[in-house]
Amino acid sequence: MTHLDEVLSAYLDGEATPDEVRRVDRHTSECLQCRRRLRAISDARAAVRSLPTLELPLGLVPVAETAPGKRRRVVWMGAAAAALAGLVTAAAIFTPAPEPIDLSDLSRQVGARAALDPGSGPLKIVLPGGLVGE
Amino acid sequence: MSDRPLTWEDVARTHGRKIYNFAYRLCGDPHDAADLVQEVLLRVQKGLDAYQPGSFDGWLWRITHNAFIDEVRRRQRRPTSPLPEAIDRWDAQTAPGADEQLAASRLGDEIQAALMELPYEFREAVVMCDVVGLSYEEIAEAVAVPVGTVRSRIHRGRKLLRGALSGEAAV
Repeated sequence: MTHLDEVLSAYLDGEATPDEVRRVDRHTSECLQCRRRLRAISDARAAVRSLPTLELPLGLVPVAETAPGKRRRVVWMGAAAAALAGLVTAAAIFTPAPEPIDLSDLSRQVGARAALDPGSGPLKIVLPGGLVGE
Repeated sequence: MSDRPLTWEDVARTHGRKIYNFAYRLCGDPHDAADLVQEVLLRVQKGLDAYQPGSFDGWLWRITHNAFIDEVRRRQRRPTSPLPEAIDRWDAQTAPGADEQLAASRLGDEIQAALMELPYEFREAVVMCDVVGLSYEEIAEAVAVPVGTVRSRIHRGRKLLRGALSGEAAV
C-alpha cells in the first residue's frame, strides 16, 4: 500500500483534485498511519492559523484627506497623533497638581511676619492666574 | 464602484495589515516588519503606473515577496540582531484575565519560534497560505514557482512545524 504524503496538506486546504479527495478518504479509512499523519498536519495548520492578527503600528499607513475640488492630500497622521497623545499624557503625569491654598494659614504667616519684622512692607501673594493679593 | 485609479494609499489601507502580519510572521520582529511594509508600499507606489489590471493579489504579493527576498539578501551581508521579546507580551501581563492571555501569548511565541526554525521557502509558503489566506495558485504566482512546488513546500513546512511544536520527529 502506498501511503499518502503531500496530498494531505492539499486535502486540508481544499486544493486537492476530486480524485485525490476520494483517494485520501478511502485510504485514511483503512490506514491508521495516514490517519495519524493527517491529524498531525492538521494540528500544525491549525496552530499557525490560531496566531492572532496583529494591528498595524500607528503611523505606518497614511490617512488620506479628501475634499471636493481639492487636491488629494496624504497626511501621515498616525505618528503625529501618537506623538501628541504621548506629550499630553506625559504632561498630565509629570505636572504636579496645584495644592489648595489655605487662606487662614496664609493670614497667620503674614501676621507672624509683621509681628517679628514691623518694618517689612506688605507681603504680596501671587495667586494662580496672575492675581495679586496683600 | 468608483472608476478612480487605484492609488498606493488605497493599497496601504486595504492591504497594509495583511502585509504587516505576513512580514511579522516571516521575520518575527515588529520593527523589521514595519520597515518591510514601508518598502512594499514604496514599491507599490512606483509600480502602480505599470500595473496591468489582472490578478492584483498576485502582483502585490510578488512585490512583497521580492521586497522580503531583497531584505534577506541584505541581512546576509551584515550581522543580525537577536529577536526581541514579542510586543504583545507586556500587555498580556498587565491586562485583565492576564493568566489566559499570557498562556495564549506563550503559545503564540512557541508557534512563532517554530515558524522561524523553518527554511525560508517553507516558512513563506506556510505563512502565505495560513496567515494571509492565499490559494496555492496565488502563492505560485507571487513566488514564481509551479503550483506543485507550493504544495510541496507547504506540506514539508507543516511537517517540520509539527515536529518542532510536539518535540517529535517530523511525521
